[in-house]
Amino acid sequence: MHSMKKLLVPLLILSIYPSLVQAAQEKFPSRPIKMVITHAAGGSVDLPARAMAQYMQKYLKVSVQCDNMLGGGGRKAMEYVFGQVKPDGYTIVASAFPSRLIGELVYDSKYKMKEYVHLGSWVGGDYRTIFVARDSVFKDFRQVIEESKKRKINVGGGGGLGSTSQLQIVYLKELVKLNLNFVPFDSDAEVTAAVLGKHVDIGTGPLSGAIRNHKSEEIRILAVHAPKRIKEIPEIPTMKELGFDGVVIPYGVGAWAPPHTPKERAKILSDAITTSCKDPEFIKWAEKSSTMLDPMGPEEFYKVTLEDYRSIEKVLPLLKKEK
Amino acid sequence: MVPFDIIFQGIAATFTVQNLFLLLLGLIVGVVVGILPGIGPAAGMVLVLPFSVGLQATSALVLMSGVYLASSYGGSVSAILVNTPGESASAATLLDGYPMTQRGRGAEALGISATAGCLGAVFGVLALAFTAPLLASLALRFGPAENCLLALFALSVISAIVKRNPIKGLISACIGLVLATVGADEVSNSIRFTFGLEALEDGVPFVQTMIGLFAISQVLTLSEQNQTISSVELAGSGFLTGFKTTFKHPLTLLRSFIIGLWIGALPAAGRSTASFMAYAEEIRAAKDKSQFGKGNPVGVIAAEMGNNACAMGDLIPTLSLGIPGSVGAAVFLGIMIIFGVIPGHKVFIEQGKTIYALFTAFFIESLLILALGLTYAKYFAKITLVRNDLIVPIILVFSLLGSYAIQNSFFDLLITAVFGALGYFMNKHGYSPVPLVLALVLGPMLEKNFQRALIMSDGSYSIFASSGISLVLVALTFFSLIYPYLSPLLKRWRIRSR
Amino acid sequence: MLIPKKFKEPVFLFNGFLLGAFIVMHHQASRFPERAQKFPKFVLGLGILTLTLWMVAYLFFPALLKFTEGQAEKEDEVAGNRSRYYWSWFCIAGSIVVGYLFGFMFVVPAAFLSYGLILGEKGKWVSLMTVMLAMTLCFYIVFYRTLHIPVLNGVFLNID
Repeated sequence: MHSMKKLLVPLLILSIYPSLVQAAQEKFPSRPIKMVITHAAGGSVDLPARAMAQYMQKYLKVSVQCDNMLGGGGRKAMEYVFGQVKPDGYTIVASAFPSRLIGELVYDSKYKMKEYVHLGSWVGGDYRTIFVARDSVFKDFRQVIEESKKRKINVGGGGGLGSTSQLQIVYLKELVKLNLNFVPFDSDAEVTAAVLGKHVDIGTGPLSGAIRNHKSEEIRILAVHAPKRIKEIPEIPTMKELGFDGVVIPYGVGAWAPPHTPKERAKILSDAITTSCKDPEFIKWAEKSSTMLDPMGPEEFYKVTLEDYRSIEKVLPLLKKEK
Repeated sequence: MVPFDIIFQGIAATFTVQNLFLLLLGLIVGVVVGILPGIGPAAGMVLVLPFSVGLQATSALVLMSGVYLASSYGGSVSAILVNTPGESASAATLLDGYPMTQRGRGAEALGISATAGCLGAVFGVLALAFTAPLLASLALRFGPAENCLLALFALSVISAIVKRNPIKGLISACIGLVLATVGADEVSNSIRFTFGLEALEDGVPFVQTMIGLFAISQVLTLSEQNQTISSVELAGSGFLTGFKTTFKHPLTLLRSFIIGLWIGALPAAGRSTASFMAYAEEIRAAKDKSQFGKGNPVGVIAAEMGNNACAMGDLIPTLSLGIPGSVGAAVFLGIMIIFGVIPGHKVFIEQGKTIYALFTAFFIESLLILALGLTYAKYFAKITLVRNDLIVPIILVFSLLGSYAIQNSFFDLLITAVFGALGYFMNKHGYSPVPLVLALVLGPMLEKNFQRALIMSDGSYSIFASSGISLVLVALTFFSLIYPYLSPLLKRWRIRSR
Repeated sequence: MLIPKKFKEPVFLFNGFLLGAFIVMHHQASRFPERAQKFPKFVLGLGILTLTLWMVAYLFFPALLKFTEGQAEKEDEVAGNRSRYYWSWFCIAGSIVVGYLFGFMFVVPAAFLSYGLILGEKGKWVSLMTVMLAMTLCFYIVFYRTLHIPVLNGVFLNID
């Protein structure tokens, strides 16, 4: 038992930390806020969400505690926050869009994105890309299309049920008419490995991850599903330029509060997000970590959700068929 | 090759007062989150993230490295002493570590764990520093077909394990394989065998299952026998015994190191796979297989070496390609990116100072863990003599917490309780749980890659014979399946021919 | 009606249950998409085959089974006390229920008190209480305050 006591000392020291952050206050927020994150610690949803939480607590003057609730490709957490009995603004959820919509529409989940109170988004301007290994035989996307007339192309994509890669594959299959085999992997990292090892012909993934490997000259991005060319890689064409209109697949990270959250509380929270987005330190962090910031306020964010509903409903039968 | 002055700059950068303090802090946090079940290295690193605000990249990574490495040592402490894996990666350690403890050799097992872990990390860092690009490009040659065959090869060791009791062993393996198919099949997007329970959609959770199979069944056994954990007086001090024992098995160390490093270099498999594969390989290689699971030090050496070599191996693709080799490494990658260290094959030159400072930190930490492990082993081991009505609730509470804290879910406690009953029953009636656990770890790797390979080849099985690596793996698997039954025949034939 | 002893052996019941479950699951698997049913059907088939073999051997050729299983030597284990076994299940289940109702932190006192009262040594109260209080405090400080694990979240009591 002696050794147990020895262990407790550093733990006690550690325990002082959060009480330093916490400052008692009367009005909202007067106690810590819980930010539920739909994906695993350290991932492309988690890191921007945690960074935001750190800056939010600077402006809210209470600690914002992050809690990763995994399961069902993010559906579990979305349903948990949606079903809050007392929507008092102390529990919010951070996740990626538009994949949450896919989760809702394709898998008949028990939450409605439309009813969620939109607080704002900070990561954006990130789009799905198509890439190959640097020394691949394919030098541009046209060659891939030509080749697919002769044989089936193996396309790798990451992220399980209800992910944006599923959406991208449906687009490639139905609108680009690419003759393909979809090879699903557990993560974007595994897709990149399979592309580099020439096990699949082309890979798909978010720009934020692909651009690093593109810059370090391991992969070559062939096309982006973006409305216009990306300024860091001006030489890469968009799908629209390649002749496939309407194939824009954005990716972003934002936060929501459960339905019926009091308006003034939601405003305090969304103001904290908006202010954090302007914090020079936060912007510096984003630059250093090549996180693409594209802040949207609550109204704009809600509009984007409605647009995404429309574009996903168009391909919904196809997505359900894939399921 | 990286210029030497960069390497020396990196080494020198580690030895500042601030960095050494951060290193120690990371180490302590790592050991603590390691010992506590349910909180893994990933959560631990995120926990210390607030401390790194405003630090230079080098200092921040030194802090993280402590948590990353030390958590595996902490995880093994709880695995060895109370049969509760503190991390999923430490699950293989308890198979022989806990039986050693029951026989009064807990301190020795802890010494082995610290020594083999230290060797794994030290040689792992060296491999990482000097062969990372080469190993990373080799690992890329393992596609779905090769990964599938690798899992199959590892599973084939079951035929050697179950030789003593083939039918019950096979039944145990089948239970594991069936459990591995529960949940959403991500390749075909269909939900299987969840019996309407949403909580099972992500599969049977591994750590919660392990805690049930081993810790809860142990709680039951301990309380019905009304004994302390160690049924005999502690043997010797164990201070240096474990250290010496480890070096008596150089071949085990070598094999487990290679397996650990290699599994680490593969992006598709993580630390628990590595430690179980290393463990299985030692059973395959051993002449007397009957001692495994009864406190064979070789089992502990293999599991620990595999685990720690893999922790370093995971960083090979992480650093040189930007592809994380495991969940823990993914968090590490995320944190590196936050601090502006962008991985890729140029990272060793462009960020050489930071990277070599990180390697030096790993090096120092391994030695500190060894020192800590050897010094404290005998005090830690005292817990095995704590009287029954105190130790049983302590194990019970911590193992339930380990199961609960992962998803904050009471459903997981039910899973743990059910597997507690299963584990108790299996122990009582001669079913070895080892094939079950191996199958549970390797089943998903086998099936997912099997499906992927067949999608890629449009359903043609020829993909499993399309590369040299595949053919070698197929041959190895066949050999390992029939060898246990062939060897007695060969022996008889040899005697007759004489 | 007298059931022969053979049919009451726990191993027979366990294997029989497994066989039944595997057959039902094999049947269920047929409804999965083609790609998703191959592997489960294969492993379930393997399990059914193995279990059937065991059943045949157990019911008709017990000598054969004795031969293969006899090779596994018995562990030199202390025989346990059955009533202690059932009571410890009571403690485990009770602690989980208490935790579910009042929050996980209450598993700690529930486990210590139930186990100590029912199965513990008489007259060693002080140390039991001390450890129990220390552990509860440790849970509160470390897991609730520091690691933010919601241990005070139950059906009746909901502090988070």
